[in-house]
Amino acid sequence: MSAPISIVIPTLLDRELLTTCLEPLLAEVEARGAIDQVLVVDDSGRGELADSLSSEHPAVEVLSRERNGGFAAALTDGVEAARHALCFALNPDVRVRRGIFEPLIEALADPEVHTVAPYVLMGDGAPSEESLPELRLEEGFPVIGHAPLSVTPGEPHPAYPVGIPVAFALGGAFLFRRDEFLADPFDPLFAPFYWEDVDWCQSALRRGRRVLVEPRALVEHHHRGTIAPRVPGSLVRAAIEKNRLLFAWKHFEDPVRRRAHLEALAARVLEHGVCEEREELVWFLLALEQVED
Amino acid sequence: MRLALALHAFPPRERTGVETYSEALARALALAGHQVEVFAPRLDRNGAHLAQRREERDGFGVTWLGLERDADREADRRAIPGAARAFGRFLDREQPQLVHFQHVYKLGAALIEVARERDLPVVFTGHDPFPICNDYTLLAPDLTPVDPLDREALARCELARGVLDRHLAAHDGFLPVGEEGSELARRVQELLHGDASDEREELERRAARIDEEITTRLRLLERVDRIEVPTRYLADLYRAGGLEAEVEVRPCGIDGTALEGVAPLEAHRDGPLSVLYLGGYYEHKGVHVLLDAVEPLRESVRLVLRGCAGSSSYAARLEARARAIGAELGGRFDRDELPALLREADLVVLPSLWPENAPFVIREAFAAGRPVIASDTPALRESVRESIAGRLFPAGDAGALGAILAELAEHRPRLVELAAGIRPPLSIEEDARALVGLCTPLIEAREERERRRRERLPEHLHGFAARHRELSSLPTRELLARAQTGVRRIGARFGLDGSEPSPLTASTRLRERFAEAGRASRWQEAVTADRERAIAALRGRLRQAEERAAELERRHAWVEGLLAEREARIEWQDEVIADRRRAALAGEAELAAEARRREELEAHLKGLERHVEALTAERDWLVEGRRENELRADWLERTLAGREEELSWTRGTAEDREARLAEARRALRDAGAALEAVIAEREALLAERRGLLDEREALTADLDRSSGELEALAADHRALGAHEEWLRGELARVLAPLFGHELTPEVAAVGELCEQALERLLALQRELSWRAAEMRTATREGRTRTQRWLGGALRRRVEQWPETGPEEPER
Repeated sequence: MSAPISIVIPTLLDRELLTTCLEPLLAEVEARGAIDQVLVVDDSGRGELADSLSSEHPAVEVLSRERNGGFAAALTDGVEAARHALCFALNPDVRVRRGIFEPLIEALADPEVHTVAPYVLMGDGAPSEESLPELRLEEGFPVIGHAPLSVTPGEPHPAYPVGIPVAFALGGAFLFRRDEFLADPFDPLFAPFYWEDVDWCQSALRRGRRVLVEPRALVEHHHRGTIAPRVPGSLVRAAIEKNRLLFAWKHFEDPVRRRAHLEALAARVLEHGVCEEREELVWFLLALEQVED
Repeated sequence: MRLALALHAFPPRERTGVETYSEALARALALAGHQVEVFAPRLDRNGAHLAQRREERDGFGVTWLGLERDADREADRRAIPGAARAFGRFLDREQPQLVHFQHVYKLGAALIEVARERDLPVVFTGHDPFPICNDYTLLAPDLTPVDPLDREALARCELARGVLDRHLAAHDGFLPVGEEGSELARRVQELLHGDASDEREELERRAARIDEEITTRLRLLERVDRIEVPTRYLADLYRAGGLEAEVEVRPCGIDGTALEGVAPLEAHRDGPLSVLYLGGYYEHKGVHVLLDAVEPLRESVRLVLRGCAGSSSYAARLEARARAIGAELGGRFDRDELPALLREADLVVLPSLWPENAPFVIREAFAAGRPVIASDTPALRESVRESIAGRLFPAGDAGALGAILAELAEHRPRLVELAAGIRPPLSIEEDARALVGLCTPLIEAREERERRRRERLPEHLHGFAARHRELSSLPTRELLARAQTGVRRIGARFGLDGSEPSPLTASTRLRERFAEAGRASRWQEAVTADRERAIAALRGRLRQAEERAAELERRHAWVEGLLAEREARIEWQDEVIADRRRAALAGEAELAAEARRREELEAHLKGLERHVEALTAERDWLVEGRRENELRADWLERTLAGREEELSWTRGTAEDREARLAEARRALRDAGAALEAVIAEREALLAERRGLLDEREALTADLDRSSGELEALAADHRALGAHEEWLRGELARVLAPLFGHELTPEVAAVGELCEQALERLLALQRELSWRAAEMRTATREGRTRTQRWLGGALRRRVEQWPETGPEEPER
């Protein structure tokens, strides 16, 4: 048995999704025999989860937020309430597979490692492209891509026995240190959602830390989504694209890269205006207002 | 408020009433601080077809939809292809909060749907009958009235205009004045009023298409939030034409600022009566009627005509005619000229042959204090109050118009009286204020819907969603301007000066985008062409199938004929064979050969029969399939209509039954209470009656007893009388010897006492008879009251009760 961890699950009122997430998680926690803490953060603002969960799963603790605050705020509250030094953030549409935690804890034992994420499988067990994210520049803009690396799920990568370096850990499942997170939590600039995990890891990388994906630790991502069913796609897209710009403006420090970005930005604005692509202009103005606030 | 005004044309390209009014309204709204964007088509042969160009005008914007050819084709007049999609782009770009249609002529009613798809409130102002009739003048090409509900008449008008299209280089939709009696006129008259037997199929097809167009237009208009018209006439016409939505009557305003300085009319002005005509030179405007009316009055009337000409020869004929009678016929005028024109005029004439609505020229004349002489149509009657602010004459009656003009030329004070009766028209500012007041709740309702949608989002997204919505509702040019400023600010944050895009980069990218758009457009065009080809191919196949069916019919008939012929031939062959057999003697070999030939023929015949059967089966299958489809379509339509009717009936019946049930429950409750009261009263009456009956029985018994006693007393009295007589005789006989006379006084006294007793007994008998009669009366009254309180079967039972009252005693 290794170090105990606090598993923090920010959630809205999707009981069915939560149940399917908790079942394999609690089985894994029991199998570990550790004193792991499972903490569900009810971000609905209604406090309706506490009673039902305590009767169904007495081992699960529930932290009810008074107001809905989004993923970042809910995770921060959960980490603050966590008892253990290591925390594992988990989305309700992600199911852990047996033996997930030991490889992750092992990887995070290295103080240079800032965050470590499990390898992601799709709901049907197929490897997911999102497992090994990398950041690229395309025409002056940051783009999330995927490393062309062949991985056998459940087995260590021959070239990276202690984890594969990646640009960021997916916000849906990652292990981190509680005190580091509280000292430097998700940047509210990226509210309401998306890109906050990319930014958080990018900041760590820029400080010389490492972010890894451990292929021996597996999760299934069922892509039921916690946002998409409740929020129109246009608004989700606006948040993503706004934050893409904010990420560039925050992390681009190299003058050459900045100039390339600015020229591309100016050309795009003109192009969107001429081609009447209004949404793109709105995304840009949303980002501009937020950065200037 | 951000408002989009959409209409079929806009000044300065066209300047009839609707366009002039819309321009004034846009300016007034802009002056009141509202953002107005106008969308209108215009002929622009130098630009790309359907390209949009925006220009700033007096505080509002005008987006022109460029047309590479004039919308003079019949179909274009109803809806320019591609206008709806262009309007959608306009709305997305300008982001109005409300769309106000002043007309859907040329643009097409589909634009309403485009606005509704964007959840925009829509107001429609009707200015003529176009929503219910493609011929908005309600006149046929020969200027005869058209019933807008008569689709065949509208189809005939279309066909007649097609003839005009083919025979005339230009026309305004009417047979030119002066063409009467020509071959063209004869053909037009034949199409409009003849039996048109040659065009029957075409007429039916067009009538069906027109009906579908108008029905679609009406259904689209019914989706509008508010429909308003300036006259009751038009409101009634829309309703009669099948518009089921509410139609509000609200007058249109006028910008009369420039006309305020026009001097009032003088009662004693020298010179001829100055008559002014302002408007188009079109047949339906009846300008020739005005010229006819003025011709005999040329000494006392000065006629000035100003307006725009159509493309037909009508204007040229008018010009020649005007010159001949000394009238001044001029071309279109600028708004600046209007005060001077009206200042010089004593009155304005509106000689229209079509019904009109609320012509702008009347408001202009009234704003300048000039009376109006107008055709007497229901709509114009609402604007020109007869003999108060103007005069009316039968439309097309030049004599009546001439008489009015002659009268006013003679009596100028009458003209001043008419001018005094003019009510100032609604100002455009008041009109704009009223419009804003009507539109604001519609806009607020949309905002409220939007706010409710936002509230359904998780709470932490409310602020972000609201800001997203605010930015998304800005016009594209505003977004672009802010974004370009934003790029410079980001450049400053980066510490870079070169915040402008590299022209090379931008132009390269734009070229790529345009090339991509061009490719997409070409691809779309190719897809459309493919589809059109596919449709044409399908039509061709349909035609082939029909031709094949006809061919099969022909072949079937041919095969049947062939079969009959072959049968006849076989019969003949049989006869030949029989003959040959009879002849027999030609030998067995020949006979066998004949038999083989016969077998071959029979085999051939069987083959032909099988072929015929196959053809017949195929034809039957085709016919059956077609019939089944038709039956199924009919059945589906009937089922649908039946279901709808059944649903409607069921709803009505359910509501009716519920109401009746509630009513019955209430009635039952009331009847129960009434019945209980009746029962209680009846019981009381029965108890009372029982008491009366008991009392009557007792009294009857007393009466019987008394009657017996009375009879006994009467018998006693008679016996006593006899005895008294006997005693008197005996006493007289005994005493006579004693007293020497017959009676003593004592005996006489006893006799008197007896007589008094008898009198008392008779009085007692009379009293008992009276009481018995009283009892009978009381009994009858009790019975009547009982019956009155009871009803139905119970009453009839009571009526059958035997009369049990005391009988009248014998006297």
